Amino acid sequence: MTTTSVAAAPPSVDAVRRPNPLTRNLSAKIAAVPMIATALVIFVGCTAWSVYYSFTASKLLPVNDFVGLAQYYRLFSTDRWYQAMQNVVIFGVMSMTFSLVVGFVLAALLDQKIRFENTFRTIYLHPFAMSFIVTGLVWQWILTPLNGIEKVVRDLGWENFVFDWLVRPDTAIYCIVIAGLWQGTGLVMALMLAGLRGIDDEIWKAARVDGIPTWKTYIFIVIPMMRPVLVTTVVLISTGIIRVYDLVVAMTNGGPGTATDVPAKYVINMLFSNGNLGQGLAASTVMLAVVLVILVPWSIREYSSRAKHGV
Amino acid sequence: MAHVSVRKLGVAFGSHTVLDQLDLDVESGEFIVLLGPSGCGKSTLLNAIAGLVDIAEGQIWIGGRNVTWEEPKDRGIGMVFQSYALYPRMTVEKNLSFGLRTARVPRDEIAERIDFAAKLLRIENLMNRRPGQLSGGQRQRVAIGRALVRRVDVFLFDEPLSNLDALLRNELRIELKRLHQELGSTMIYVTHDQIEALTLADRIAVMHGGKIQQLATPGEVYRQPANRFVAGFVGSPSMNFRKGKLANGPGGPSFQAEGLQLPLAGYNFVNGFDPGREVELGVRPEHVVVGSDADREARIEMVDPMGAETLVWCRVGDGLVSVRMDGESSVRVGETLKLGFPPHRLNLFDCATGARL
Amino acid sequence: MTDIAAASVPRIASRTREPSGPRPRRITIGRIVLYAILILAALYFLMPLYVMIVTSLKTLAEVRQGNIFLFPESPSLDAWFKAWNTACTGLYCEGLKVGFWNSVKITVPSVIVSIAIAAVNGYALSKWRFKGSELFFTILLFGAFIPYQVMIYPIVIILREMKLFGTLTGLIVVHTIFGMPLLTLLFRNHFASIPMELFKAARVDGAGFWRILLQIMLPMSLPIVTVAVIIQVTGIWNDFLFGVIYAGRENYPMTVQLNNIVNATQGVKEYNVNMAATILTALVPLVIYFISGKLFVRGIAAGAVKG
Repeated sequence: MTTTSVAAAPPSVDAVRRPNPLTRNLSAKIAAVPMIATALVIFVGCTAWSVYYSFTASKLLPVNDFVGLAQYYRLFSTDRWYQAMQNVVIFGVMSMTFSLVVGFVLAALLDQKIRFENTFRTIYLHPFAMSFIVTGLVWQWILTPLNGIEKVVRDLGWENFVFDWLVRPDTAIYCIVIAGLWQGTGLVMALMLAGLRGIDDEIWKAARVDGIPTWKTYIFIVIPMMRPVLVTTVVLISTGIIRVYDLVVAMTNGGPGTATDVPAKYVINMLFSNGNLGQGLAASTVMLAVVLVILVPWSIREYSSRAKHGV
Repeated sequence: MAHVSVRKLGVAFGSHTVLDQLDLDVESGEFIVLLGPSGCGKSTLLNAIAGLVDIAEGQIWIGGRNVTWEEPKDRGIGMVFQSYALYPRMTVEKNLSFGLRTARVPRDEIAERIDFAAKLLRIENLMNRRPGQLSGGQRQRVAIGRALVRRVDVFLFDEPLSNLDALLRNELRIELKRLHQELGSTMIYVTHDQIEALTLADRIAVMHGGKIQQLATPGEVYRQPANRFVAGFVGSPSMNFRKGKLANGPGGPSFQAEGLQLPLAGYNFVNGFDPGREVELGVRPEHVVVGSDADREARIEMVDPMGAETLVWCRVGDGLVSVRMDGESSVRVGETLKLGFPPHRLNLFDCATGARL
Repeated sequence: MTDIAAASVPRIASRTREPSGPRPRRITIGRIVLYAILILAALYFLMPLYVMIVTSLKTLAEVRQGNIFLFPESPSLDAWFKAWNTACTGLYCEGLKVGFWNSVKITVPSVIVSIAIAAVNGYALSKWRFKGSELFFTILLFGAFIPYQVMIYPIVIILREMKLFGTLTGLIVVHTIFGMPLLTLLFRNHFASIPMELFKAARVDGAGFWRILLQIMLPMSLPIVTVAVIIQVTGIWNDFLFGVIYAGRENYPMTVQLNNIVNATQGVKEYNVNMAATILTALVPLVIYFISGKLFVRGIAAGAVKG
């Protein structure tokens, strides 16, 4: 803000008082206090706290006894943790692949100017409105040996059909995958459909005049054009995958034994049931690290491309 | 061999009829422009010829073949779109060759065709770039190239220059004309810009409300507009209009309006003279005669200098008439001009139907 | 103009007839397969809902004898009443209704508070940028991706210090905190789309921060508030993790109680009661979903396509 002056008189610095930069927009700043507090205290502060104390020998209560990477060594020599990590990788890879493929196919089909599009979309997306607990319990019931699918098939004639995936340690995780896919594919489909709808109509016309068959247009022209949407979807799915907890608790509670344990559940168990803060915090820090590995390159790319295109 | 014929075409979207019983014959090698305001149906007509839109009735013939039920790729057409519609993630070279490779055209022939198009359009050095790295003008050239490599006789253009700025538009317009002269193909071109139409077309089809209002050479459309709409749409600055009546008198037919009586001796009536009819008179600003031998005085109320020419608004009767004068003339508001309205330069339209009289 | 309907009746394209008018609409294999896939997928997605409902309407004997896909012989809501009134959730056997009202007590205030704060945040960020505001917002967004487990324990400590641990208020605070990133983003984008000129005109007229928000911005924001409400109600009602950790035993939300009913009971498993309980828990967000349809989808798209 400049001072006003008339003719050649030297400008008087005190003629107009500059507003104090701190009190400018005071209302806005006060109003933003919750946000600032949340961002700093909770997101930054608590995360830092957890990471810090993962380097201590805390058990039931946090202590300041610094032990370096000891907790991590212990963590990575625990079978149960390995099982959990393995599970989340299996769950993640399978969920990601299937939901992307199925989600895209469904979106592409819905994009074909069909009747009842809204009905189909509502049906595919409705699992998203349900709690993971609900999903887990329903699928537990459906996949339960003796009463679920096994019984249906047996009633149809195949007397000796066995479907006990849910209770066998080596296959239980796949049941979790099935339940998770049922819940999440609808969302992927909705995102893909939104991406498809953003493709300019004239591209389709040009491909048609060029004689490119529909399937080729999808694979060679449309999908490459949807790269930003695909990337965003992948990032979203992965952050959801690392967090999976409710579903496991409801469906198998980590069982049989610890066969379907996942990192999120491992952390909660360590923190609240086993009274081992150090292990729990170390495990959660590992989870954080994984998320950052995915998140940081993506957000750098996003923000730099936005700066380039001036969005 | 590239004659295009549209017969009794009807197109509707839902319950809304866009085109009805439309006939159009395009000569082989002709450059025809479909001109009209938004919503007049010109794009729909073009898309129907291309086969991109389902038609409700009628037939489309291209090159002597009935292509009404054919897919666009089998109609022997190439098309250029307003937004270029280049495949964004492919290089220019791939954009040009994708359709050909899909059609299993042999590699060396593809290369030959691309070479030919690239030279003609001067895009040889752009082959490895992506559309995002090209300027608007370059993109449009590539889009034309994609149509060119199809070795077709009929090209369809859907407002290809609308997305370009004025300077580029002029440049590319000249290119297109040159292209037409070199190739001699049939070209059907859609635009709302009358300058493009007047400069590019062999014939113009002025469209409005789903119907062709006039199909004639640019000169005819300009000098002998077939109806009130065409007269008002074509020509910039636009024609002056005044409502009135036809009257008969000792000096022959005349036009009577409030404060304005014009003799019409020498006007070429299409269907004979009909005294008492309500008409609308039209006269272009450049056809109003200014000078000492003109017969009425008019007071200047507004002066619009436009560079090469000046548009002077004068009060005649109960309205203003715009008159074109040379840009150098120094007239001022409040002065009077002597104006004349030569009958052979006038246009009379029936008030009720809009048809030319 | 010929009747469009009549003209679109599929014809047989015989070689002797000249092509004219609409293309003959051949019901291609492709189209059949397309609808078949879509319908099969729809059945697959609806199957669990069907199983839930059907199981809950049967008697326990029927459930044991038949299989999950069979229709109940004489549907009855007995299991539903049991789930609502007498099901055992841990120590008490007072049914799900306790959990239902807890969920209501949790959801309503949480939704109101979290949306109110996020709206103010979004408004401040989009129209009243100040130094550091963007930085804080970025941190907030990052926070949305951090796994909750990383922050859970320190929050326990903080709430304990504030004497809010194990209380309803504490849980509301937690929901507000974790709902902030997404909702703030939503509101920020929404307010950013309101032209700055409107805002400047109001300032010239002398209106301040709060007045502009309450009297000008909010009345224009009903659709986005609706979307936010839908997102929050669904998210908070369906929450389990925060409820089980922060709510305190008397305040357990429906989801926690549901899990207890099904997984933590010893003795005879009453599958029909379990399924009835499951439906009751899923009912509120599901009903909102089916009613609000398009808005829900728009809400997800807005949240997922980050800015």
